[in-house]
Amino acid sequence: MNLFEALKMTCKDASYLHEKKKEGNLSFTEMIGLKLHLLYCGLCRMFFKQLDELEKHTQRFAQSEKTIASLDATSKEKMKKAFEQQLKK
Amino acid sequence: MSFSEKNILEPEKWIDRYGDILFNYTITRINKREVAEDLVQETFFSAYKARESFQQEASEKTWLIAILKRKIIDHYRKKSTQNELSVFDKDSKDDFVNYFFDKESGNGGHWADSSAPQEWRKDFQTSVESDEFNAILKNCLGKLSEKTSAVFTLKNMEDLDSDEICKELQITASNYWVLMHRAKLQLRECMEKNWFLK
Repeated sequence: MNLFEALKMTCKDASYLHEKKKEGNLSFTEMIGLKLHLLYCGLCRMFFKQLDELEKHTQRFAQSEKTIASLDATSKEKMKKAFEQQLKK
Repeated sequence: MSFSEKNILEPEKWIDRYGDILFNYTITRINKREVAEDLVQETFFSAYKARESFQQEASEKTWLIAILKRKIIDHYRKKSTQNELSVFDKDSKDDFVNYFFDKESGNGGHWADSSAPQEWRKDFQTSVESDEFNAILKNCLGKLSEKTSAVFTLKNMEDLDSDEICKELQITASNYWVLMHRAKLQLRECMEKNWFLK
């Protein structure tokens, strides 16, 4: 991305760059372009905040040890039988 | 029994002790019961075969989860190399992403009126730790296509970085960013319908 492209950045471009930015993969011009875009684009500001919010909740969900589902009894029995065979070997 | 309990492997008790824990862990990341059950079973088998390599400093549970994590990555890698992901290349049109942005000349690439972001309801923060929220989130994650859910899950739930994910799934960096972006758009759309705008 050259400086000219960075200055006329679209919302679509900005949303990709917002993603890339998370791992520090932005070039200098991309960074400037994204910053400028966010200065005048309220929709993208709101959008990125929402995406980050979603990401945060997914991570929390992944780390929570709350039970959301358990093995059903038949599968568990089947699994035990198969595993017992293995243990005997 | 001798010595300190937690550093001894007791395979005969694994399924009772950890079956549900491992299943719960898997189903959060792969929303298909049969697949999750298979991965849990494979984990116990692999762990048993590898029991010699168990480090006594780790707990049984941590060790089993580490093995399961690898199984989950392998599951997504297999999906990916069975051509489900690699057909998606840089040049293919990303229709889902385009659907959000205006294609009309003049305003191309900016928010289409019909899909422009909207404010979420003010009180959404108060209930995001509820079971209901988790159930909806899980359901929406389950609706992601294979391609997008592989990238999204490995990044946000398994904590791999983008380089590792590209290597595992054999995709290019630009595929990665597009897929990740698409995953978030899909997830956001589903969550808005069912939660944030309700």
